[in-house]
Amino acid sequence: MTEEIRQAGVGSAWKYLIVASLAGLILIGFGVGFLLLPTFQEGRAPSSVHTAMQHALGHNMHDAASVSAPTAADVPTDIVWDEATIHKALSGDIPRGEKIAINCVACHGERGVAEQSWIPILAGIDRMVLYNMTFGEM
Amino acid sequence: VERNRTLALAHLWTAFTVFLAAIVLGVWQMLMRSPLPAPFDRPNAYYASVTAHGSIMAYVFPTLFAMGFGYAIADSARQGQMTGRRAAWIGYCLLLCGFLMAVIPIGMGQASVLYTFYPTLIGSPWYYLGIVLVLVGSYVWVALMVLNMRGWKRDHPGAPVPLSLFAITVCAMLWGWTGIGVTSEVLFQILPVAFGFRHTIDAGLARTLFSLTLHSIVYFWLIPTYIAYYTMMPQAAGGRLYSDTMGRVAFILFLVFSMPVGLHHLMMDPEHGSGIKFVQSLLTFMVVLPTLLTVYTITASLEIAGRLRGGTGRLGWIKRIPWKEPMVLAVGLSLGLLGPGGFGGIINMSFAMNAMIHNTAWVTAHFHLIFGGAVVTTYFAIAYELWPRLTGKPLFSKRMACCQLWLWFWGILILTVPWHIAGLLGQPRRYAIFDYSDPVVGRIAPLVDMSVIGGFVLLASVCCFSYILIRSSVGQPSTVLHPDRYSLTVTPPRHVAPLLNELGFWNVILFSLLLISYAYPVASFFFLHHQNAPGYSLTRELSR
Repeated sequence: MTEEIRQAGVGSAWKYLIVASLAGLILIGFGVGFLLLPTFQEGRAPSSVHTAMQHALGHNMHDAASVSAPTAADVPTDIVWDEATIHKALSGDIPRGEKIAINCVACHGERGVAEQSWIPILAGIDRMVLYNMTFGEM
Repeated sequence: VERNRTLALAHLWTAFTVFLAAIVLGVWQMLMRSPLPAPFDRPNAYYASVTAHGSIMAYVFPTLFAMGFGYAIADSARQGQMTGRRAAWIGYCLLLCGFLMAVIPIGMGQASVLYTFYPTLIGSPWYYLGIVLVLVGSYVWVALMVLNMRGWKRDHPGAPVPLSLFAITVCAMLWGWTGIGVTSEVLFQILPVAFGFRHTIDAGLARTLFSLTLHSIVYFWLIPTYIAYYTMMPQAAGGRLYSDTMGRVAFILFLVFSMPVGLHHLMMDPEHGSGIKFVQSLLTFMVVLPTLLTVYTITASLEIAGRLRGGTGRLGWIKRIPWKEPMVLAVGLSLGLLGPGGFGGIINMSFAMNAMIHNTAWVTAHFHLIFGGAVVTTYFAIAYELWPRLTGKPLFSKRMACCQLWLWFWGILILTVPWHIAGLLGQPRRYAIFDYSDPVVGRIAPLVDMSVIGGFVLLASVCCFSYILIRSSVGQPSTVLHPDRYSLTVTPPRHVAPLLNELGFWNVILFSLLLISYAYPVASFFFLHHQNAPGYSLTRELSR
């Protein structure tokens, strides 16, 4: 019985030691990764601990203040692909689309392969990409 | 006893059969992407083949092997009274159904998404369901390994659990944890889009969930190899294991540190901050520890064997080691391949050096060197050790087995060394065709040709392996089934510290580390990122 109690005591001591060692390792990891490294990365010098933490968490990549406002040339489309727009793009009126596409055939060919080299080939382009090219360009 | 051995044999035969098929596909893939002429020279066929090759090699072959090996160990540890034989057969059948369910859409070209899935690419839902079924089948094994270790402890109160049973239970538990990432990705991210319930998918979240699986799966593959190092090799070498404790510590370290490190596979992904990546990168260095412990212990065990066989002097014992024993030779070759493979891994997980090799052929070469080299070499030797124990028939030819192992060793080197160099020269991975007439691309052509030769050497080696197993199973007279025995330790443990004889505490530690390292990266997708993108359905596009 005494031996069992002694072993249990030793076991508990080991458990505390293991947890403490792991906690130390994690603290070192977070200290270096969240406080030290952001100071040196890419020549940036965060002005505060808060800024360093933001960098370490990746918040700076989503921070509006750190991203310059896009110009019209930077934005290729005004369509945002979400459930609603995708549903709209995929559930069009096919017979009506076929009629409209007759206009396209003259230049782009019956199967989307143009005869003239300067006219873009449409064959093989994903439906949603075509939708975006047709309706989304600003 | 007899029927339990049939269970293990069924798993191992199936494992090596699908392995042979995957090797044939792999060689064709090497040929296809080389400047040499290849049959069925079509990129679509290439991607279907890569998906089949990867799915078999990552999910099916090692899982079946670990299951068969686990049942053999549990059966011997419990002296033929393994718990859950019927459940084990059910798990086996589920796994086979899952395999067929996954492989048929791949063959039809409707699931060419590679085994890592790569959302927003979406394949046939049957492929993903098949993979989930493979996992469900293997989870039966996980439960049975835990039950059998408990059963053993109940039958032997206070006694140290045999190292082989302890380690295979660690392997099973790790697989149980490992499956969480891929299963949650498939169930909550991919399948709703594959079935058409949703149209968008958050590729960042899906990749983060998969990263939970992507690194620990490697250690799931490796643990049976380490079990052979510790519990089979010293006996085959005619010596003793240097330390039972070292083995237990190594397996526990694998369990604890394999999971909370997966984000180092996403170093170049923008959705996570550098601090989080650094913490996981640091934790990744901890998985080097069990390998270093193992190299030390196994070298010491080999030295004991060499000296017991009359070796003297500082290095004289090396000559006395019985290198003509397939298990001993395989461990030597495996460690020889694990060294450079592990070195490459340290480059991959280093925060800055990863940028140099990201998305290049280096990465593919690396995991072929680790899995094909260090892991599969030992799987062959385990089969050579287990076959006589499971069939009651002697191994057909140890000499031929050693030749086969050497052939595999050289095949792996010829395959992967040029592949690594091609990666360093910038060859991208996941490409079916290259324009070798371009001078920049053309300079890697000789390296790719060499890799093709390596692939054919590997195929020859696997054919030789199959021949040995078949000849060992048929045409040999049956002898008495010997009880399975594993290596003895220099000082056999009478008492083991409770922490090294149970796994509950370590699972709590693992869960805590997972929470610390993954809770924020996963949660951030729900309050910070908005990265939903349209899923690109292969089945829908192909059926247009």
